[in-house]
Amino acid sequence: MSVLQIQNVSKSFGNLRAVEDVSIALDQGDNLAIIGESGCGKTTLAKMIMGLAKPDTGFIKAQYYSVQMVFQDPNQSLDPLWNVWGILKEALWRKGALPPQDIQKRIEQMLVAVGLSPQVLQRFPHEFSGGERQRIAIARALLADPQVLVLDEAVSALDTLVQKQIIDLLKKLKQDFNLTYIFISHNLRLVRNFSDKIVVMYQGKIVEEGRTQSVLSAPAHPYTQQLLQAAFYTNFRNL
Amino acid sequence: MKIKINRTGLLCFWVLMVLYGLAIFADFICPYAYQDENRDFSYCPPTAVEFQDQGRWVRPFVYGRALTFNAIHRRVYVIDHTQKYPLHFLKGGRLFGVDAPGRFYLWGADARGRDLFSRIWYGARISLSIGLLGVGISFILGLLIGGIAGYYGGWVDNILMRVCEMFMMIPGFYLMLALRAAVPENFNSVQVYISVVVILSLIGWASLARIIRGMALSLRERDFVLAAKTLGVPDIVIIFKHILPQTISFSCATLMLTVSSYILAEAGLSVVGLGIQDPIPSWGNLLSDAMGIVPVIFAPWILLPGLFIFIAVVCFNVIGDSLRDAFDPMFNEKG
Ligand SMILES: Nc1ncnc2c1ncn2[C@@H]1O[C@H](COP(=O)(O)OP(=O)(O)O)[C@@H](O)[C@H]1O
Ligand SMILES: [Mg+2]
Repeated sequence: MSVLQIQNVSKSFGNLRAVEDVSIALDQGDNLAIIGESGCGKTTLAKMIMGLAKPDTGFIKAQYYSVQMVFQDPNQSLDPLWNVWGILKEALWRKGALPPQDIQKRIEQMLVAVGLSPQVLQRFPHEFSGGERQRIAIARALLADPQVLVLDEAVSALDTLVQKQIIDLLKKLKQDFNLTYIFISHNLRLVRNFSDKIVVMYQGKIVEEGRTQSVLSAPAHPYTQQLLQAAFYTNFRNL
Repeated sequence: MKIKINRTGLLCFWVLMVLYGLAIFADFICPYAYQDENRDFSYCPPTAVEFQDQGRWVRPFVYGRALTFNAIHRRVYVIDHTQKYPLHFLKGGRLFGVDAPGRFYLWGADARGRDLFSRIWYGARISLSIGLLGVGISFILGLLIGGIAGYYGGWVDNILMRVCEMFMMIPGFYLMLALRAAVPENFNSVQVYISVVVILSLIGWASLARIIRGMALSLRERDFVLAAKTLGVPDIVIIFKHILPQTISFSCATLMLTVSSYILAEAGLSVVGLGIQDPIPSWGNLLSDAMGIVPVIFAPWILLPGLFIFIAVVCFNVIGDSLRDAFDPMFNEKG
């Protein structure tokens, strides 16, 4: 069952073609990785998926509010002036007026689901580590009951060890909440044991796509080969 | 959220609290009502309080005074040692005073023999409240319009900013005079007060709106705003919940600086006779008595309202500055 359809989407900023003729179809339960170096248009594509930017041409089809996003930098994505309670409560906005106990229960359950204690509700973002902040951001996205989660460099700002913890958490959440992932990263190593499908972007265009196994074992495009080399040359068995 | 304000700022805060306290309790603290006049005591100098009578400690009292004229027809008040008026406290709902026909002028009298001390604290009610109210309106306008213009951008921004520029084009004082000219002449004192508040608020909002708009323009691209958008939070809620609170450090500091400029503006209007009208006192129209050189030379105490304008303005400015300092490190720390 298709949950998200991206059809021939392009977006330019002046002369710069940030995203060019990108088509992706996503089925329920997919775990798709979008790989590409910085500046190749990944965030622009993610913003268009979220409806935060309008494609110049092409269209994106998804159910209203069925897609949520986790941003790259948890320092930026959580309002520094709001505590965890305020931040998470906002995710229930579209649910309308819920009884207060209900809100409390949902938020606390979600905090536990992402591995945080319900006691952190009164704390502010700057009182958490990067990994914890990203867990809060994930909790916020999931509270909105999405079908699809767009993870834009969601672990890139974290240390390797914390990266692994968050990746493990994401694997667990995918099962628990029956999610579909778009995992955006510049790091091939991260997606090797995580995603089932890979899309490789280069200068706004898709240059290669396929199942993770086949792309990694037999990369067709020279850019993918380059990426692979860069990722695994030094430390092949990591992760 | 903890705000640590520095010591000078704290001192100024308490000075202001005292001024506001005196203004609020003027009915109790002042010996006379603001319109209570006695032409026999025109420009009567400050009254000395006597504690000793013929070398003995007695209950504090004041001597009576008699108005005479000297060789060049200047007023001279001679102390009449036969008349003694004991100071009484907490009589008739006032903190202190003397019985008629005695008059007690702690800080001297004006041309009509009205007690300057009393008029200063009744005037403080006007002068200290008018700036705050004006700033209140300016801020609601400035934050709302700046927030909306910056957040939406595009043609909304264009229209709102052109309106701002229209207000900013005209120098503040002339704008004030022009707006004052539009106010009907037959207004009563309350209506004049309200129109002065509105006039003041119209001078400051535009520059604030422009700065807030600039901040909103960059804030709307921040990830936490984008996150709120994807959650389906309405724009106006985002503006109030995420955009405007980020401008708080700037806003609070500016708020204080604007209060002081409004206090000065009210004084300016009143000094030229266009603000609050006599007999109701404001620091500005009290100071307008000191426009001539002669009264200032022979009754220098009528400059006192100027001192209080100065104190209030300095205090608001210092608090504004220290608030800015207090907010700064916190925001740096959070990145
Ligand atoms: N709002 C914008 N205005 C102008 N150029 C932009 C804007 N957003 C992104 N770009 C440009 O588009 C290109 C792709 O950016 P982005 O999608 O953020 O890349 P990635 O997320 O893959 O690092 C970059 O060259 C970037 O400078
Ligand atoms: Mg990016």
